[in-house]
Amino acid sequence: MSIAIQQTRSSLLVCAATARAEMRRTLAYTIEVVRWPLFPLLYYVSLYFTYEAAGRDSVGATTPAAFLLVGIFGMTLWSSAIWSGGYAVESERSAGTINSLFLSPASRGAVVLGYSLGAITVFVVPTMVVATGLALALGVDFEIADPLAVGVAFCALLLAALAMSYLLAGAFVLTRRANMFANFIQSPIYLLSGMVVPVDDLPRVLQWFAYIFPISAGMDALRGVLLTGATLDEISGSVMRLVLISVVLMVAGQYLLERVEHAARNAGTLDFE
Amino acid sequence: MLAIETSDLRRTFNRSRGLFRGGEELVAVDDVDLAVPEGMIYGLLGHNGAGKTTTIKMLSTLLIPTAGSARVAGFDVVADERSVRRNLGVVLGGDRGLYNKLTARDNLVYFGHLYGVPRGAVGPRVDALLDLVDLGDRAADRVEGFSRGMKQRLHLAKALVHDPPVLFLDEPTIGLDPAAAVRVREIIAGLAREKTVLLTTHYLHEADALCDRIAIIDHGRIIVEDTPAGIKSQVGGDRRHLISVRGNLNGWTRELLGNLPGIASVDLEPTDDGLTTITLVANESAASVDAALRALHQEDVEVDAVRTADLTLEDAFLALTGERSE
Repeated sequence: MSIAIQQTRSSLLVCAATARAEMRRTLAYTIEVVRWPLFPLLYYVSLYFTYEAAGRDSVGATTPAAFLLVGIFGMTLWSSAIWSGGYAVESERSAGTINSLFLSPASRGAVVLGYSLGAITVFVVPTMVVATGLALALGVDFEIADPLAVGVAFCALLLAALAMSYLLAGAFVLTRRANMFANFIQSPIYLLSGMVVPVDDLPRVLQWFAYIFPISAGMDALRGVLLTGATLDEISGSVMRLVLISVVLMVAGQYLLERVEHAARNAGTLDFE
Repeated sequence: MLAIETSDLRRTFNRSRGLFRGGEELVAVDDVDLAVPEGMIYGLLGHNGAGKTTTIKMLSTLLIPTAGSARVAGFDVVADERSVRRNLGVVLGGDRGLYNKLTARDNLVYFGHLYGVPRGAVGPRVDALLDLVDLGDRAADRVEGFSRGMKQRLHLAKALVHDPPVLFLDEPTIGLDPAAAVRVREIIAGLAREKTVLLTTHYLHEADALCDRIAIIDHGRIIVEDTPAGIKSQVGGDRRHLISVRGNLNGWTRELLGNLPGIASVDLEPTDDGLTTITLVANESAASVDAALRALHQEDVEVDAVRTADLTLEDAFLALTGERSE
């Protein structure tokens, strides 16, 4: 077996092990199990009544109720990714386990991705349950023409969330104020990625920002295949844009992670001692 | 073959003195040479800030040396850091470094995966290690409920999970109660010959009991390297003399006795019954003690008792590095 295949296999195993560990940590306390269905539910209700108060009864070709159902799904993915993968190195540092992790030969990137996947696995399930309940209660009609396209759009959105968290994992550690920055950028991304309002309704300059966030392309694709019956061909442009930007973010994230570790080992600041 | 080898290993830090005032270079480790053969328990002793932990961090790839070279298990710590990590288990002092929300077993399984232990081998290996460190019956409990001694034993198991040939133990018994410390020492002693162990500790009786050889580091430099017995003999005398005197003595006594010929070190310790115990390590035992007693008599210090005891590693350490407290 070539070295590249061995390393890939080893990284996948580390990623899976980290995802399992992150799931166990997340589910260690009952309050966490209760909190996560509440997160999408409360956000959805707040935004739904905001649209009601604004007198909007349509968003593009669909209703606010349907638009926001897909929106809270994106919010869950993004929040899970930023607070797990994006925050991974910093959370190891604050938990006092960063030396133990960095003493191991495991791929740091695989650990970061494992954090994201573990959190997403835990939080997507309650979000789906909440979304299904809301869809039934509010009479939201889904229009799915191509089930394969739904799978592709979902995977593309997942890739976008992982790529952004991967980039942030290194960047947050560089700032040494990960918590503050995670809080700072969480809500603007909701806005700029078309989760809570359509990107087309934003001022022109903000639309350009939205264009460079891969999650906005994922939201377009997922809404298209779930609400307006878009096919794989019709979402291919958005998906290609998403994949290209995600690859660039992942490469930048890998570079940052390596630089951060090297700089910390050089300066002796890996654990703030 | 050497398990640990360093040549002119050096590490400096720049300490900022504030804006516009420039920095100050601190030398934490200064041209350290180590040569530790396989299968040996090797002690690295020194005061706080002497350079022990910095040396361990460089050898374990957590810190990049400023100059010099180091190899662990035959691999260069800078050029081949991943191979070093695969062949090394590290226990850093204190109770951090474990995932508190995970169980003892989940911690070890996770670290097993991080170190690339084959999936089928992780479970049996983890069970064996939990038994080794007497945590088999607490395997399913979360680490957050563990005592410090239990966490430290779990740290040891974690360091062994990938069966490395080399172990670094940085103050593995710090903060433990006596029973827990004894158990950790028993486990370390049980690893002798199978593994190469680099041990740092402030408990010198521990180093004396466990280590085959010891290096004493002071101000970043190795000042002596030998067997525990060899280090004691290098101090010059092989005995220490305890003189009990009436009253509390001041610093002048240390100065007075320390300047006498043949006295290697002087330590003063007041006792609850109004006495002070003077501990002398003397090169020329009889003549030096006589000289000390005469000096005390001339200063009207009333001697209550004199007795002689074997020299400990602690006496030798203090004689070599000087008494220092933070």
